[in-house]
Amino acid sequence: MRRQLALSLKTFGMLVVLLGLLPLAFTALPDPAVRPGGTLVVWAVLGVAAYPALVVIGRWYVVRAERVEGDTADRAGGDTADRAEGGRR
Amino acid sequence: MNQTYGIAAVSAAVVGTLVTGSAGLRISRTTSDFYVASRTVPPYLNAMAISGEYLSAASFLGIAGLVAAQGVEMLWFPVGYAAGYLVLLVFVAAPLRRSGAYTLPDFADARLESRAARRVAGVLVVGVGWLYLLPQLQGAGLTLGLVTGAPRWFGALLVAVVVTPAVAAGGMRGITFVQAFQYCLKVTALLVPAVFLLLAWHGDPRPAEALDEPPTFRRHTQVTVETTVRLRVETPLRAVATGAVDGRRHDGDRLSLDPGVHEVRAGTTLRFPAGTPVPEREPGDGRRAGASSWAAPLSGGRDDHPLYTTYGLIFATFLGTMGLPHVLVRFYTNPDGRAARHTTVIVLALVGGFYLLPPLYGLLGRIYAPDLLLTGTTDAAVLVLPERLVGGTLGDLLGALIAAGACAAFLSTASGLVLSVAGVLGQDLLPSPGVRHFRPATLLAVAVPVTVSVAAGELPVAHAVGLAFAVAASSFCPLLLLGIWWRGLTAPGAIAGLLTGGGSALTAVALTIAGPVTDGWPHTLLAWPAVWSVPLGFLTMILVSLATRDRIPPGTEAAMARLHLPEPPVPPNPPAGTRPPRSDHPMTIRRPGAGPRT
Repeated sequence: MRRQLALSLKTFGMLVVLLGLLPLAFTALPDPAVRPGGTLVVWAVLGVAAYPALVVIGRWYVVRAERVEGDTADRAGGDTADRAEGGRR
Repeated sequence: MNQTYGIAAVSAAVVGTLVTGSAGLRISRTTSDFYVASRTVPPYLNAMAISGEYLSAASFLGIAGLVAAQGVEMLWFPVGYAAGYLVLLVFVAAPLRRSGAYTLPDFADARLESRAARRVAGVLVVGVGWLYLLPQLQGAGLTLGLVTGAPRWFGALLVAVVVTPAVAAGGMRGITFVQAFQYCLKVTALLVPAVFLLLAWHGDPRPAEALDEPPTFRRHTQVTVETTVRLRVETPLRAVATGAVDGRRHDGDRLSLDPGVHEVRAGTTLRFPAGTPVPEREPGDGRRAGASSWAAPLSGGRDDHPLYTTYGLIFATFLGTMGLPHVLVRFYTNPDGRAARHTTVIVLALVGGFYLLPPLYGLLGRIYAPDLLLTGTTDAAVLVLPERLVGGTLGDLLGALIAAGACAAFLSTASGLVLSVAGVLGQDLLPSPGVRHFRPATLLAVAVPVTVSVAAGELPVAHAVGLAFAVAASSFCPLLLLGIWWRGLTAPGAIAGLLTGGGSALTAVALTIAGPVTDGWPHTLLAWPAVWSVPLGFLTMILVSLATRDRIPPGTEAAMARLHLPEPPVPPNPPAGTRPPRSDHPMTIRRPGAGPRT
């Protein structure tokens, strides 16, 4: 569970870094009145690029999470009695 | 818009929904065990159902309208709606499926072993559900009004008439098929017209810079304002008016509007020659709309503190998705925790794919339907674009297709919400629970928001969705995250956190809608409560839990193990959190996640 939590937090961190900091980054863009190119960047990032990025992060997380679960199952020796024991402890 | 096509399309959407629903109903009746069948629902079908339920009128109509009115900043709404699923995937999806909880109150009860926590969660679910139903009903009124010329309240009533019997009779059965069907309908309804619109835009001899400021009427345009508006005119402009402008009657005479603010009475028709810059609409309280900064990434729409506003939106949508009552229910149809994860990733892809489309409509709406900015009905942008840009029979047909999609949008979300709210009402909040009371509960679940929607007239619709998300984020997000990941959570802590977080967000919502504070930081803080109310909810929950450490529920370790250990490959019979086979309605199951403690 601890490893799962660490993994979840790591993934969430990626999300925060990727999307959460964007508003701050946008404030640093040049004034659109001066250079209209900045606006196009915002449209491209928010309108298109964000979604594939979300799917990729999600996919990455699922693969890692299942690896962690596989390890846990191995450690339990594949013995369901062990697991039930753990559940009742 | 051609009314015949429109009525036919809306009827087709309604009939299609009912037919698919009854077909699904029959299929599931002939299956020897409906719940086993439902647990073999493959992830992609399940994901389509989740997406179908999630993409509401706010997504289908509202985003394009917001983008048209307020610009690129509003793209944060769809991004947040989609990113909410990533947060849900990372923290909640698999453990929640393993918990066996069917609703949020179920989860509170199973994890904390407290009837009181269950009841508090129930009240909040009902609150969030009703808050989220309001914009659906308004979207219905808008769509049907445009398509058939019916008055606004008619749409809300139609939704009630279609949804109530469907939910009361069938409950959750067969609904997977309906929702999946509606996802396909919604994507088609935006994708196909989008292709034609893009072609028409491409063929336009003057594909004007979309980012031009201010937008101009591209051709001779006639606008009828339904409610009295105040217009800000920057450069002198000419128009032909029939009605009252600035308190003077006009009857088809020319008038020229000098720079300044002009009041146009309800019912007035204005005709503008081509090339006229669109006058800016003053919001009722005198603050300036942010049209001049439409293209700026942080224009903040009409608020004073754009960066804060953006983060308020991010907090609410990223963290609020997991607390929406109708989202959670659907995760139960996954076979196990692993499938729940896979489903969520597919949902991310499906929802993200859908959200590529509405901003395009918003952009085109700004160019080709600027009169909507003037009347303030930008939510209609999606619906009127085919007529404006393509025209003719093809335009009418495409418009009808979009109307059908919009219809699917508010029907699917509304039925999901009504189902969840009625379930909680019938099971937890009304006296003498039981399946017999599910039907009156359904009636109550529909009646309250319909009454509010009809009585209140026009609420700020898109805003109401954001507020529903904010309340969900500041009450259920702490409950779910701490409940799943922290052993120390106690029932008193959870109740205190739910009440403080959710209560403060609800209060902020009520104050925003009632509107005593209209300016400055207090207004901004109340209008975007999530930034402070989410941490408040977390903090209260943690501190009170620490103070009541002796009240940690005895079953915590077992509950944690069940949440986090993967299911065995071949589940023992019956696996933890499985619903009993064949029960008349999912809501009849009391404490489904109680497992070893019952």
